[in-house]
Amino acid sequence: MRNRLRELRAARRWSQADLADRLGVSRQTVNALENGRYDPSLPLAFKIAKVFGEPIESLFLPPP
Amino acid sequence: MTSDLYVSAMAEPTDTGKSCAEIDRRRAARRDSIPIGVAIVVAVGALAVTDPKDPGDTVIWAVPMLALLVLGLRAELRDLRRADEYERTLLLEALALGFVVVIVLLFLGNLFASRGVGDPRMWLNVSFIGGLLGWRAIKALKTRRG
Repeated sequence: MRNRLRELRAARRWSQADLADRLGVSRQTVNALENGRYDPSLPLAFKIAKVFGEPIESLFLPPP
Repeated sequence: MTSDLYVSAMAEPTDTGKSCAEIDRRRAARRDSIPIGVAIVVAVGALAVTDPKDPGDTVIWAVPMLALLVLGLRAELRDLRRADEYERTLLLEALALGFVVVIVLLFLGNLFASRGVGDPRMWLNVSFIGGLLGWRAIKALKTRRG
């Protein structure tokens, strides 16, 4: 699954560690999410959506 | 839509730090390792001063070994509980693969021992140490900083 995490994080000038702090996860997890190596659980996806103030469906996109 | 070049230029410079969750987890893991270190020293000391053939000494070397096992298990379980969902997946994958290594080595060991090749106790030790090393190596490989 593709996502817009890297783009939204960069637009806010946050580092991966900043985003990880906001989500309560490790930087390694944020890196895995951004690189598409890991698809988050629903609770984490909702948390990500809340942090960015965007609906889930605009953050995660189906594979091309 | 923001271009990829812009995104990577913005994202790269500050992506080397640790999150608070990581720092807390490492600190807690370090705290958990202190009693394990003490237990190792006590267990080695107990093995050194006791006579393995004397049944009276069994409790003296067995209790520190059991304590070491319990403390190690406790530390692993606490680490697993503290990990976030992605890290937990990696840790459980490493445990599962380590378990596969143990099963394969136990099978081979039993096979060889049944044909009189090697001592069954030696194969048990090989399985245990092989599984442990396999698990730790896979864990280190999977959880290396990415």
